[in-house]
Amino acid sequence: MGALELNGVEKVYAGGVRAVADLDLHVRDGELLVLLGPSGCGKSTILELVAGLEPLTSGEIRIGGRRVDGEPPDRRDVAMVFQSYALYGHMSVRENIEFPLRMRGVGRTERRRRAVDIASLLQLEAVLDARPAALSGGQQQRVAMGRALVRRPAAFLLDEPLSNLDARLRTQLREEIGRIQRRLGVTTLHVTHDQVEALSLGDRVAVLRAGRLQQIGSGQELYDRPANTFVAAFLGQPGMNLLRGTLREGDDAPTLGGRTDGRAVIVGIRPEDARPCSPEEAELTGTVRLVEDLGSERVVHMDVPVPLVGERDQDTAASEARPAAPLFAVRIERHRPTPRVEDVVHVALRPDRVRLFDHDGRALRPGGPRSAAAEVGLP
Amino acid sequence: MRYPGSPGRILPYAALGVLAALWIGPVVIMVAASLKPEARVLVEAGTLRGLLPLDPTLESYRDVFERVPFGRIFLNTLLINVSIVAGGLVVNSLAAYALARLEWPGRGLVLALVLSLLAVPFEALAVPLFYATTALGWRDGYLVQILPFVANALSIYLFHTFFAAMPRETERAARIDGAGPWRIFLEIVVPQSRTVFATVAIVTFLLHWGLYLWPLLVTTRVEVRPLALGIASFRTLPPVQWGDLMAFAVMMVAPVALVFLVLQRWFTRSVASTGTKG
Repeated sequence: MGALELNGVEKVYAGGVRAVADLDLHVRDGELLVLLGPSGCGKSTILELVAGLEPLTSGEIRIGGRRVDGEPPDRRDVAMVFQSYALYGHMSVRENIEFPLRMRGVGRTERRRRAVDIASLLQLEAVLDARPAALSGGQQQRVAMGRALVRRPAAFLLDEPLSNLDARLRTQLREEIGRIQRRLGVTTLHVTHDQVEALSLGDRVAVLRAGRLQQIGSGQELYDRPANTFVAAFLGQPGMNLLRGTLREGDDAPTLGGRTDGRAVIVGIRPEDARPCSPEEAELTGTVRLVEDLGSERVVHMDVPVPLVGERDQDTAASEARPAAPLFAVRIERHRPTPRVEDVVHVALRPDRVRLFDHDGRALRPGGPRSAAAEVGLP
Repeated sequence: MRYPGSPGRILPYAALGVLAALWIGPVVIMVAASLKPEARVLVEAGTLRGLLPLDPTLESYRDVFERVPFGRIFLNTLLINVSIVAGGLVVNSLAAYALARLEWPGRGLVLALVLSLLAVPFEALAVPLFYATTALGWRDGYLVQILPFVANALSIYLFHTFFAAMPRETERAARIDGAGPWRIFLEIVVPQSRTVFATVAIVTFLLHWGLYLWPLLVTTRVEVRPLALGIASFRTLPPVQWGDLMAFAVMMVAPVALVFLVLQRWFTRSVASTGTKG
């Protein structure tokens, strides 16, 4: 076991595509760190760099303090679970699990014992002699984990291991991965584009965009205090509402909408921190365009007169999750009255939950509009 | 509207039936003639009786074994073909794997050169190859009939198409698990490529079983000659017995048909997966 460190790591493919740029990432010994980001953000490339399947362009990688970036994959003491599981279809489950031990010259008796141990941890004893094709998706995923864990690697790499499973199985195996990882205490780097998986599984989560680290921290930190508008909009379903606003000298709160007599800022508010209210209390008034019934709650999407900063402005890849024209989202608990499409709704924002970002999308320090005002250069 | 028995339905089947008869007819005539007494072979040729082995006899088969060393010629052909197939499977699969999966400078150029060889007929290479093998003193033996056909552009192409389409992840997993390139090839790639190995084996066997020009150029002794030369010289060996000739032909064709029947399942599956016409 050992910590995993990436220092100044950069990967530029032939043809000039920069997949990873100047990445510093430290995974503590025994920690489960999740790399989260939209498709094409470089998260799987990072795993390949750590595993040694792709060479670095610059930087260094250390596992347990030992520099490994010049070593071939088998000398790095890492194990990896692939998205497709990459099981050896012509071998039985037992042979699959024993394969890495056999490649390392472990004797037959010891191999058998360790394969049975890991199979019992993963509830695979009954299928040890079956071929992978005869197993369910969940069992195949467990075999892939067994094959990776059987040789007790210093670092465990998981590349979207749950993405091929249905929702129920995904939840079940997510819990199982967490349980096994905690039990074995193996340093783990887990890649996913599923934020629920990331927030529920990771000790910490690192959000990536276009090969650059955007923010790293606990799920709660990332959700409550996003470092920029990308993280704000990427996390949450739907993500944070981002509105154009203005900070003026002496104001206690930002003014929504663009004005010329102040500094332009972006005002962020999560859908659950906005609530329908009376016209007197309203900070925003809009027309309902869409109501999503999620069972336990409803999400109301509204057209508002204040310009919204859509993810389209921020990042093309993240925009898939939202409608083409940005709408202001309000989360309403199921027992409250729900407006209908075309209704006009007045909305109030929880002032302590408003987040401010500068014009470029960087978060302004928490501490209210006055400290934010100082940060954007107002007296 | 098409109903059973309508001309729209019958015509295609009738056309297919005629084509099938054209293909199968000579084979039936060959087998029937080989089983007839010699006196009736030419008499019944061209009649419906020519298609039926009435009063079958193995007389012609006995004649073949008495008149030529058929066993020896057959074993020569078997040895040459099995060697070409076995050697070809090893050499061409390795070459194709290196071209499909390993990173090395000039890989694209070498692949283009290999593929361009598909357009070069063997006849164009026969004369320079003849001089080269003569200079090496290989003539009139087995080696000269085997070695020039082991490395084969078509086989490399078939293997390359298959390997290039294989998902890379199992090989990557094996690398992380500690397997080197040889282990990956032998333990991961080959067991998952049985269909393409079967295809290449069949294609190679079929292509080389009836090889005529090259053995004619490089051999003079009947002891090392293959079946294609055997049947050619048998045809001119007096007295010309058509029943014997047909018996020789049946025994020459039978192994090819057998190989195809045994490996047919693999062959059709592989052809379907690689999209290559066999």
